[in-house]
Amino acid sequence: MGLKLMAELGLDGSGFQTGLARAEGLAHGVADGLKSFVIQGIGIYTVEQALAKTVETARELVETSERLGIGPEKLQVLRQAARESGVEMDMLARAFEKIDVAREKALSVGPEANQMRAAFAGLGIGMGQLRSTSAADLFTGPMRQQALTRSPEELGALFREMGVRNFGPFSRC
Amino acid sequence: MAKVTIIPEWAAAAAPEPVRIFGVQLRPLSLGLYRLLQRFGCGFVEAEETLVGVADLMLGILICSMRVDEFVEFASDPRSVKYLRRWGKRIRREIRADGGFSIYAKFGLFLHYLREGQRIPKYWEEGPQRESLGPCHWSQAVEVCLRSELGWTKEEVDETPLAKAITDYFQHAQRMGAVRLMTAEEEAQGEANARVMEALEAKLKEAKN
Repeated sequence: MGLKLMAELGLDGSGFQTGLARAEGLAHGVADGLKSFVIQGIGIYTVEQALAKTVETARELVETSERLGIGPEKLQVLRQAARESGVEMDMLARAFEKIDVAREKALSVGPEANQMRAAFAGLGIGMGQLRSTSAADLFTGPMRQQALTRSPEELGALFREMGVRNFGPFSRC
Repeated sequence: MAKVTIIPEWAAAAAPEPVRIFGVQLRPLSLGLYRLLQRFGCGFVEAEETLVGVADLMLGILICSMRVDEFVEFASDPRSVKYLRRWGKRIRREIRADGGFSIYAKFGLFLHYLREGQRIPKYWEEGPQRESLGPCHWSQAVEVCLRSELGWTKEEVDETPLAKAITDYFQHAQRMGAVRLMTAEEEAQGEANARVMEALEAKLKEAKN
């Protein structure tokens, strides 16, 4: 079965216009009769809304992906895991930002830095990983591994030191 | 009597997991539904590489949510537009409520439903090589065999899950000595071998570079 999904939805929205034009074309009977009947029945604005929301979601995905330093594909997997665990993606994104702040602190000098390094070390993360790994990769890599073997209370205490409160739901992601 | 092997994964495909898209529960894909998808030009089942759009998706969902005779009646009834209007309203509500909505995810779900519904068991060809069936589509070959050799009725062809139809077709072919279905162990061994070959190919490529 050969198949190529329609890929005209550009992130700048220009493709969206093309998509709309095509959808309108369908509704005006340019394409097959039954398809046209179905589209007219559910309403051309339903198709418009579906395409517009898809563009909006894609834009938001790219922005979040850039902000958190995670590839869009990985972000989508994470978002699905968060959804299934009942965690809002915004909460998870804020947690990543806090982990990034804690990482910066751990890489600096002073008593607070030592405290942060100890917290990361408690999660099995050394200085090398702190220098080279993004918060999202720390979360989906070593932190996730720790979540499989340690109690939420224990993890919660370490995360609180990094400024991430209410860690409980994240451990299920 | 020859031992008939049913591959567990394949047996599970004969009673597929229910799929729901835009609030509509899809029936297990059957030969009858597959033919309707083809008849009404749903791009998802085109043999050639095809562009599919929202209209293909909506039509596909509608067809696969009904019995064959129900859909034929639906398609010729002007009152169906009322149902479509209600469905459109339901879809818009879902789009508004879903923060991460993507039409591509729905395409993916429908594609997954189609692929799961027409999975072919792994087998070895046995006996002398047979001539090609010519221009006959595989679904037609399966239907002819089911009706003429196994006595299936039109109703059974239209409504029985396609996965079950393909299983019966292949088991008949096995009884006739044309193929031998792989056991679960043989399939697992085959997959392990394929992984080893992939790893080997990757290493060879790496060495070349």
